[in-house]
Amino acid sequence: MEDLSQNHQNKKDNPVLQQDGQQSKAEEVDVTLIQWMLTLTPLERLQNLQRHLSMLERLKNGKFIH
Amino acid sequence: MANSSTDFFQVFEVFAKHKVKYILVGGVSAVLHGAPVTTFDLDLVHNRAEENIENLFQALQELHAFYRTRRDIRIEPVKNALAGPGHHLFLTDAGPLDLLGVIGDNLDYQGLLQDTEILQVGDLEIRVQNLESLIRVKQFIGREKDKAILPILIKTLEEKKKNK
Repeated sequence: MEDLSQNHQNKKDNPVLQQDGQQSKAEEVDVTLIQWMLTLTPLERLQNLQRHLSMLERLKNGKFIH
Repeated sequence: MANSSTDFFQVFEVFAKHKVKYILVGGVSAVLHGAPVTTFDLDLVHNRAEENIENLFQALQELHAFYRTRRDIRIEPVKNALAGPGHHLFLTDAGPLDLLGVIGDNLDYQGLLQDTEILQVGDLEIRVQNLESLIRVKQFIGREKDKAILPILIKTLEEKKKNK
């Protein structure tokens, strides 16, 4: 309950969070991924993205054989 | 040689070497703020003052930048064009790089400055658009790809505020 109340307060205080259509969609977002990202430093987040892109680059060169 | 994958740090290092003033915006800035999204290019709003355009031009030459919008002909950066408000979509040795004169509601480098934070990584200082501003710009632009990412950005902002 405390978290929800804090959440509501944030929306009330911040016009960016007040757009209801986007807000309801925001409730459908996988919050566990966000929470994991927030445990990382900005540098670690960037390094993860860089690794992710490198992996995609490697996979791009793969071929489906069946 | 132009690279199809992105090496963000190469761009940051070359820009620092040439003392280019810029603001990191878009998807990479979203990632730095903790949003779990993927992006393939680097979006920067550059300072369009004369001295900075000269520095930027030198940096782009070092990165062998050319417009990726024309596949039939190699068009290299032009100083006068970089001084305008348009968007320049380059391919460089460090991957795709988008230089944006203005974004959203006609926001240029100066207009965005108040909504930025400095990220220090070793000797590098990277000026990054803050998450609130990023959300406002995406709400203003309203393209489908911007709308798709908005719920994640908004939720990330909420979670960050909870953690404070």
